[in-house]
Amino acid sequence: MRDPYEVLGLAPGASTDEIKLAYKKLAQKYSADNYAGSPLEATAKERLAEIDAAFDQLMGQIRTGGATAGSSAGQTAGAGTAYADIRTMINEGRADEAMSRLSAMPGADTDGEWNFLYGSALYYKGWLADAVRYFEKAVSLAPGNQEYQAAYNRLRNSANGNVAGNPYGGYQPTAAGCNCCDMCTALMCMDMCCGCGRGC
Amino acid sequence: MFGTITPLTEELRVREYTEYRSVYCGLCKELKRRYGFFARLLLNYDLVLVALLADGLSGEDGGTRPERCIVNPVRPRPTAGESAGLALAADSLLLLSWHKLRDNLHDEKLSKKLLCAAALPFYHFHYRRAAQHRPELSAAIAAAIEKQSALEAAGCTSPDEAAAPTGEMLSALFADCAEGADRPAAARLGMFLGQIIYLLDAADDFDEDAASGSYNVYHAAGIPRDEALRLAKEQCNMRAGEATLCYHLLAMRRYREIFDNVMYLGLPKAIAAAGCPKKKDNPSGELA
Repeated sequence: MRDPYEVLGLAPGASTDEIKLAYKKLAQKYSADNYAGSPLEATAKERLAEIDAAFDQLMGQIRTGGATAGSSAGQTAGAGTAYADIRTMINEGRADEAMSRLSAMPGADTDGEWNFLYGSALYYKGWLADAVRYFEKAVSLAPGNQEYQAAYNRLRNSANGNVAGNPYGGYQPTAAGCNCCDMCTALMCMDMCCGCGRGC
Repeated sequence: MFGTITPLTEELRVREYTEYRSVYCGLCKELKRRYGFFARLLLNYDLVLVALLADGLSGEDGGTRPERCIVNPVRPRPTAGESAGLALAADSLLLLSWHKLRDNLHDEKLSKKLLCAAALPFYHFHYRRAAQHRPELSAAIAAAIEKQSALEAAGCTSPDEAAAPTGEMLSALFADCAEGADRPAAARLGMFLGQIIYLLDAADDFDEDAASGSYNVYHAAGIPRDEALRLAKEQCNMRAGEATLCYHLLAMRRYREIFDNVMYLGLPKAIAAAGCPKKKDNPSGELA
């Protein structure tokens, strides 16, 4: 296994708090919520498992709790119905096949799950504009369903320009560079703070 | 077609900017090594991203040496040495440029048509060599371009569908930047970036295409200009979000800060600028 400090992105000898913070950040980044229904779900799960193992090793304890139990597009409601096959198909990457099977079934106008699955197949293919429309319909047909809501929210959130894990945080590019007033002010401030020998 | 995905240079450290430029210069030198002097005329900033990703994932360091340049003969500039990433970028540049030239043959302007027609046989030999180096990639690019033409001829009205071939093309290219377990994530990253490039292009060319009668997916769907721009930005933002999820799964051994800048600053900036008049953004000028 890789060096646990490296996996968590820490320097060797990091403190317990640092380990916990790093773990939390990475677990959020690779959270199953972000990758549900994506062809990269398995990869993300592997990363998460690696991070869990590294954390366990460093903290010398067994983690309890179901933090790694993510839901994939296949495991929630729908098992045992006609849609179970479709879910499997999508998770295996046979998106076009799933879509043609769905097109042959009723439910386009009435069934939230139909719309969610059709949207999921489109999402898998990367046809996001169409996918979000079907997710929207799924949410309106089945308002309480968390799975559909989450899928819809994720795409709508990105559509507004919010991007996960942005290391630049709330950066807002300025339209113009600094002007003379900025520079003067900056120099004055620097002078006050770093005045050689004068101190603050 | 390409050309939209670059870093926000104002927010690069000087060290990072120099590194980025050195890869650009390295690509130029690699083109000369593999395809001779005139291939350097094809050089642009686009394929630098491919070199950054490929070498960034593999960790290969070809070294950086000061080298003189035909454009700037006075001072030698730091130039990245040979690497697998630069080789891939050079080959891809030939393949993509060749197809771009062929595409331009259908252009309305006669002068541009003649120029491209004249250039084509000249680069044909190099194109064949590049296709020999990368047969699957060449086939994938050719297939995508053919699919694109078919969709446009049929007057496709769905932005998702129209953007798909460009997505597939870049997906194949980015997949080649990675190895083994990284390939799916790199491929999906490439897919979304390719779709963004296509949609931004459609937004930028909305007026021009309307005037010349060329195919434009938003036009074909009967969407007016302002709505088209709004939709393009929204659709590209969604793809940018998904692209970053793919990017998270790639462990960059090198160039991580530069690529972070591209993904989190450069990309949003390019999307926000959709439809605005573009001057050719050449980062080479200022910090000489």
